[in-house]
Amino acid sequence: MSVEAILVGVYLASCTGIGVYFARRGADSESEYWVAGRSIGVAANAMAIMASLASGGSIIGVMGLAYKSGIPFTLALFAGAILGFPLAAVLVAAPLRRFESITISDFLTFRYPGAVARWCVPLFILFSFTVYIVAQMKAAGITAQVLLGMEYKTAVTASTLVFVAYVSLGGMLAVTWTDVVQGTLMLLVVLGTAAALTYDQGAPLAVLDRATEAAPKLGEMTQTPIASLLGIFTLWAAAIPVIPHIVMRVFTAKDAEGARVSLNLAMILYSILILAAVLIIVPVGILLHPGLQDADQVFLKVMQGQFPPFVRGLGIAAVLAAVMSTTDALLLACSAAVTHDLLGPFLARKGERVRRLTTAAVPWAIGLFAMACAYHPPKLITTFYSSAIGLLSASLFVPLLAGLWWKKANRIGGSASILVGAVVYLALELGGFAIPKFSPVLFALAASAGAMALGSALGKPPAPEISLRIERLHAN
Amino acid sequence: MFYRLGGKDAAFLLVVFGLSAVGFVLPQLRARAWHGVSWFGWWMAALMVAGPLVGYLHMRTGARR
Repeated sequence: MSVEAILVGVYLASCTGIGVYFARRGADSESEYWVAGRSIGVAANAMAIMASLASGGSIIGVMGLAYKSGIPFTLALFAGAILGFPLAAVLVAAPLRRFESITISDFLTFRYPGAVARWCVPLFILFSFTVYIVAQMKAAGITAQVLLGMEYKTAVTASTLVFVAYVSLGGMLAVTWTDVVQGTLMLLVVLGTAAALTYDQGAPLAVLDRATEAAPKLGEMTQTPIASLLGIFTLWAAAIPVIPHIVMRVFTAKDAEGARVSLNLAMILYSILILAAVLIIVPVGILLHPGLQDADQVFLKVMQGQFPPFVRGLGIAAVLAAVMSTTDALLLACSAAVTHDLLGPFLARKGERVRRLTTAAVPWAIGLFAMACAYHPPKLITTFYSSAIGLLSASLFVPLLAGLWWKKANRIGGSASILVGAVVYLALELGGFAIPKFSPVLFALAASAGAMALGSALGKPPAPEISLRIERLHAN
Repeated sequence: MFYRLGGKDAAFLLVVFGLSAVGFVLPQLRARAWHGVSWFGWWMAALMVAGPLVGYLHMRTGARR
């Protein structure tokens, strides 16, 4: 057996071990399973948030995107994601943490009582995150295919079985502690690779000069419409405060201040990771491996060509870590959408045993469905899952912020805002209109805000008990 | 009409998103390049460095509503 395969085997066994270790505590209560008993400290939470966001998209995908679409477009996307953190930290983290719920749907259903928040929000999450999971599985599959020589479907199947096992066993505690290990591994490998390439190829700016001379498209942005750049930036900036696998981390924090600080620390770590990948590793990839058919393979080709088996093994483990740290959090959020949000009232009537069985079974159902979809993978993973995340940005950003900060936001406004945001986004994204790619989210957010204002003006004011509770969320 | 956002928090968001907006509205940033990468790209990279650092200092130096 090769060194790479042994290292990957050790890594996968460790993840499963963490799931088994936390299985008993995760089974104790809903709060332990979904939000780790609200017991995670700042450092661990920051690393877990960074790892959750830094997906296969952030290692495999970010480099593929920069390789194919250029550095400026890629940085517009990731600057949006990074600057979404201040929005989340300042406007969302503290009041939402004080709400003491488990999912974002809990808050929206309380704030805007009715069928739209109750059913549409978890269904949007389920749809978008299943797409996101499929994209991550492609990253796992091509990594093992390129670096281990494993068959694509076998690799997808193996990694799926491992992360579904530890999510279903250990819940958020297992997800958080595997994410801490995975985040550390990712940072070490990406920064280590960047440092080794700098030592081998020369100063980053000199390499960048050579790379942009060989492939001027890498640094140019004239071919990208400004609406696309603004769209991709806004899409991710609006997504971070609302995407459930990040929001659930707010609920796992010990207190509101811890949630705010850990979001900011995560932003620093994520920024370092992305800049090292885009500005140091991609230019070397362009120089050494020009004209790749599948741009998403650029990091793997660099690892394959430049490093010995032990480092390649770490590289594979890091990519799997990136994939699994996001996918486990996505899977947990998807499972919460089904088990807690959609089936919660039904399960409450059925007793503890049925609740536990369903909680363990739902991750398997979602994971296996996504695995079957991943057998026929999308082309460029970052753009693929960005489109799906746009649905959540378009439908949830305005209702969440208005629900937390606007006193007049009411049930009609909130419900209209969720629906109009989603419908406008889907119509523009799928309707074949001649508008720049990624710009639909700009129109959808504007429409969602308009629907919120109009609906709240026409509907009755929120019930006094709702206003009182929201008022308390803002008390220092 | 709105719950009150603290002055420091509001200033922080204004600075971060104001600087982001500058990146999108100034055509000069898209027309010129440094080391082969357009100034827009470097502007975004600078935001990715400055945003998190300022944010962390803001949180650690008594950001309160």
